[in-house]
Amino acid sequence: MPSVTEHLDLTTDVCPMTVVRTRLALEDMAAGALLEVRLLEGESLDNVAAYCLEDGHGIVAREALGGRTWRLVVRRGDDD
Amino acid sequence: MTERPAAFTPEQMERYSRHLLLREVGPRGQRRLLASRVMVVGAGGLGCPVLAYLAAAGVGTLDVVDSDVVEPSNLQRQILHGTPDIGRPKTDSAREALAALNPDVRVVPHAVRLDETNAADLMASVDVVVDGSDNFATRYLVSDTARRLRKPLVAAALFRFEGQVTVFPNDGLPDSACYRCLFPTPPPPGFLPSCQEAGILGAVPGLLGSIQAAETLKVLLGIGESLAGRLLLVDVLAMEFRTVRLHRNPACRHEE
Repeated sequence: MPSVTEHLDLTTDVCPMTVVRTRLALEDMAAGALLEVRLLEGESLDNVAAYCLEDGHGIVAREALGGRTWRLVVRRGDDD
Repeated sequence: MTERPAAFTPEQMERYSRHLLLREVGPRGQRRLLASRVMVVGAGGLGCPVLAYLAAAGVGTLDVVDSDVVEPSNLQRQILHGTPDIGRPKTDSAREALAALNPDVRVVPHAVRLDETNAADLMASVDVVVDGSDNFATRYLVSDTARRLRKPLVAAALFRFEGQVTVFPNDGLPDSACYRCLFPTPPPPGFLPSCQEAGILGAVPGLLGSIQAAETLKVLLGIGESLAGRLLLVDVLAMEFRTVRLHRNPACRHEE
């Protein structure tokens, strides 16, 4: 299991910039690499998670960090 | 080793976010638009909306060809020019409006009339040509030159409440039609609209120019089905859209 190599703090971003910034971060990564995203529960978390799955990436962890903040670990898919 | 593409600035991430969200555009497509160059013939009723949407979309370089100055009668539909621009070259007011819209875009003004001596040079380094001209002589020249240089051409024409638009791919394939296949010869003088028939509902060029802009972006991005091989006919008074097939005219004397 590879370790997380990229981190993205989206706790101050709102939809749809959360998805845009996630997409841009994943684009620069190699297939199989892991991206950790911190974001707020609700629309941000739901939409980023849905986008990742739709675009062929994998979600390997999804956990609450306290408050409204969540941590999502995304495995970059083969190609976008 | 492939070079890592330039990162988007935070401002560009916001500006192009609605493109970046589209699967068919995304970061790769947006970079392609930023690296593209399009020539728009005419900064008038069609050229203004074409230029505005291409600049807003982040098409990196826009060549604007127009030798006219802004007249009061233009303002009813030529939305890049304002009342204070009356008497100024259209290329100047268009350049200022586009620079204000998107500083990422380089506007190359050509305040000349397109003719046989300059058309090929002006077209040589662009990716797509958009025809927003208002006369048959220029349309034939644009089509012939674009075909010879193998540049995709997005063409449109207007009359009163109606318009037509198509894409000539100019890809060298034997079945590709050109403007001369559609209109082998200019109409005789009596068939051209006279002065009192030169009216146009201002929103009609806005609609047709927006379609030209969309087709140009599709060609640049290589997405979807372009109007190549089809002529879209728009009747705004009835608000009806229909397409007819366009075929290469075997008798067409293309200028290869």
